[in-house]
Amino acid sequence: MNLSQYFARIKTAVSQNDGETLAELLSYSNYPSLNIRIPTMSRKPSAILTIARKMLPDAWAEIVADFIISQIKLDIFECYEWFAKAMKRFNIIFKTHTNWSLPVLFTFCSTLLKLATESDKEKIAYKQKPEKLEHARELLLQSFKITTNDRKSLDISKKFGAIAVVNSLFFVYFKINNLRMCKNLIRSIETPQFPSLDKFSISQTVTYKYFLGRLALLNSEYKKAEEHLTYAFNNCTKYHKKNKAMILLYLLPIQFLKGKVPSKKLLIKYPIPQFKGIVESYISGNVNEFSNCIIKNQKFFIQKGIFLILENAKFIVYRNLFYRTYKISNINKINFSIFQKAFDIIGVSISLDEIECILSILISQKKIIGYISHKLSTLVLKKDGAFPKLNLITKN
Amino acid sequence: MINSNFSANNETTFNPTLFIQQNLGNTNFKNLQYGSSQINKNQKLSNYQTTKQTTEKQTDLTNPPKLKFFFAKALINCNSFKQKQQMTEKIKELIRIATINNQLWSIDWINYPIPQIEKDMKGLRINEQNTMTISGYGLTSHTIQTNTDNKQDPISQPTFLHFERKRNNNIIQNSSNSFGMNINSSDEDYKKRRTNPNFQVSINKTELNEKNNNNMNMKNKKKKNKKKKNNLPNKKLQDRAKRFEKDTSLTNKKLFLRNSKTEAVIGTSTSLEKQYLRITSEVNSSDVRPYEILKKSFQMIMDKWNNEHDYNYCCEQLKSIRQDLTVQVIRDEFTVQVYQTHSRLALENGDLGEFNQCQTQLVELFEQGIRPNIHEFIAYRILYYIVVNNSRGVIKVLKGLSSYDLQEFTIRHAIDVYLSITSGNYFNFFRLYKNVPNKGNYLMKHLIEKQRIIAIQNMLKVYLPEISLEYISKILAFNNTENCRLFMNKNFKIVYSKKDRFSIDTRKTKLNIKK
Repeated sequence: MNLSQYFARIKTAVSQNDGETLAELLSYSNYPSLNIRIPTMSRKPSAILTIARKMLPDAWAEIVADFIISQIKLDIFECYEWFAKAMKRFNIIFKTHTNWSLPVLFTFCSTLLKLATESDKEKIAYKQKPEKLEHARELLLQSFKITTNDRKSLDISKKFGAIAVVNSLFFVYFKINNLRMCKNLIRSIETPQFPSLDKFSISQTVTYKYFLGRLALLNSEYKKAEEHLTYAFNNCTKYHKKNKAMILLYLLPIQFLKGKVPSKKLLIKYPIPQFKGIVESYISGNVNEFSNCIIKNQKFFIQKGIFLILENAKFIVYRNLFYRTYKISNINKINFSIFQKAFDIIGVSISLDEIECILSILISQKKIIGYISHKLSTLVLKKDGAFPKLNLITKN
Repeated sequence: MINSNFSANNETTFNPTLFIQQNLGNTNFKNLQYGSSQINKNQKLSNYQTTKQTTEKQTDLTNPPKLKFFFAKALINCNSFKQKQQMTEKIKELIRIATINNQLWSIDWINYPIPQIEKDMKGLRINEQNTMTISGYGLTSHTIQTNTDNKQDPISQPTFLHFERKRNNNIIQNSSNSFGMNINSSDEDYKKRRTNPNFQVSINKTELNEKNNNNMNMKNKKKKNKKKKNNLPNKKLQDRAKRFEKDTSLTNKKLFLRNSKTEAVIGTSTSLEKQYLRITSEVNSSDVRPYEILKKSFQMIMDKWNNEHDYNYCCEQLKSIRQDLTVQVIRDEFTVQVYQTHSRLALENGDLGEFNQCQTQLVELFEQGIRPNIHEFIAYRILYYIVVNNSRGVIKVLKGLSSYDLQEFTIRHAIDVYLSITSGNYFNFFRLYKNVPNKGNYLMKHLIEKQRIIAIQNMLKVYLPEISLEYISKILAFNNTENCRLFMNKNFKIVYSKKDRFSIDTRKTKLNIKK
């Protein structure tokens, strides 16, 4: 396809208000497959713009020209800059549109993120200050305002673009580690005037819920986090294995706290290499192995914000160990020295006092039912049901 | 009448391409490239045109156009709203006198001296804040418009330029907003206009409100429109624009210099002691001590501390040393040493506020690559965040650490403290408390009481039928059993078991709820 053919196709799409086709023509990932031939003579930005102006209505000519230039440029920074220009211009005319051009907004958002992250990576590699994501944030906020402030009736409302933009903004905020700003976004989506979430495309809602889950996780609101992430996991299509694995990465630690363990099948289907060893040691109550696994990937877990929750899950591992000891000894008055032996077997040297402390914490959290007799240094368990199912325990 | 005209105009659809063809048919390519900005201008233009047509019959000029320039020129130097108000008042007075004396047309307004007003620093700062927020978010349609008006691409600019240019725009815009019709408008109106991106609406409002008073401004506007419409900008107009550019860039430069730390002073004072005073004005180099003197002074203060242990004196002296270092932009190992010594002293004396100030400076210094004792101080920072109950802060610190740092003993210790608190592992917590590296115990001290109470509550819940004071005092790191008893008495209603006064009945002992 040569340049004028390409412009002609864009022109028809614009005149017919055909957002889908237009989005395909202006998509970053589709661009190579369009195979647009541009003669070397007219590879200059100004030349492309003149051609575009001849063919297209003015505002679109600039957007399309900037887009093509951003695709031609080899330097990633220039790519980003030209694309950001296109996005900016798009935002201006987007204000006047009804919601037909939403598909274009979606592709533009994702392209912007892609280019911004790439160029920031490059900047970090050169040990410079990354700033493109910060810049992208401003552009995205412009789009966000346009979408949420649309007061037109719902069938032509641009509000249906809001979730996609919010997802992009979440992405940016997580990258630049500025999570305070997320609250405002959520607030504006949770207003009663906003259309309910099931009216959006499932991919957008899944991403939105995924981010909500992660935010709740960081605020230690485990119940909320589990709800959001479970929704995201169940509704994410099975073709997106990478995404599902990503959701599991945050979902599984919460489930550990509740005593739930993923099946082997699940972990084969959606492998998370960092969890290798963690699940096995969790089940067997091997605290030593469990701690080692965490320390091995400590950096990764801290970056992902699940370090704390995994460390707290350690107490469930202790409990599993105590449970096994209890099952084997089959008495309900257990001396601490028996537990000490169990710790010996898994290679942990531990004092009786520490065992006592761990037990007392587990009992006070009602994860074990019984009491401690300090004088006899014995744990006295309830006759039956001393180890209740963890997901039945209501704890904050 | 005017109002109806405006609304009608808003409804008619506007064709940008047509307009560009009409107005810019002969212009070169450079103008075309920034067509979108032209559209904006033209859109306004078309609105003005219609106004002009309807009110053309009233074109007897009561005010000279030069007065308009004078007014704008005067306002460009005002940085705050308050100043603008004052300036407007003064000019109103001038105009009044001129009209009485019939000199309104004869005065050479362009070269007329601008009336002086008080320059208030507060106003300056307020204005900075305004522009800061705008540049920080860059979102209001206000700024969108100004950006497109500008022919430079904002992205390709380094951040500083970006910031400054926005400020330029802002100032120019403010002045242009106000110079047309600010004379008689109230505060509220002014604010509305400032925030209202839709220029024409605000014109509309003022014209309605102040039809009688504001005749002169309307006419000014009309004149301006005429010029714009013909697309033949007066040479004077251009000159004026140039002058504004110069003016604003100059003032901005000054502002920037004052704000930044680039303006290093080299001190000449030789006194070893100096009272700490917060800097409120320009630094006088005779009050500042140079590097060598500071080193001597630091040594002297440390000697004094070792002999006399007067924290208040040392704190003040160290603060003034820190101030002198900042003023002279000295950032090296010595600076780090001063800050670290001060943090340690602050810790020992329980001055957490001062400690935190030093910490924030140290973080910056570490980022610059001056990193002696970095692990010790990262550990302090983690502990500090635990003390002030800021778990986000802890996580933020952890995220910035490398895997090597994470295994370092002092840092590992601080992380373990954090984990033992979140999981409630009191045994671990007090074990860690007994082996704190460096001066961390001064920070952990702040945590102890709360942790002890939580732990004892936990024990009372779990142990049956009794628990010995000795055990509690051992686990919770009391010096002796009597101390433990005192602490228990203070916070709990103790009921001893029947045997003796060394074991506590766990069922009957309750937390003392005094508060």
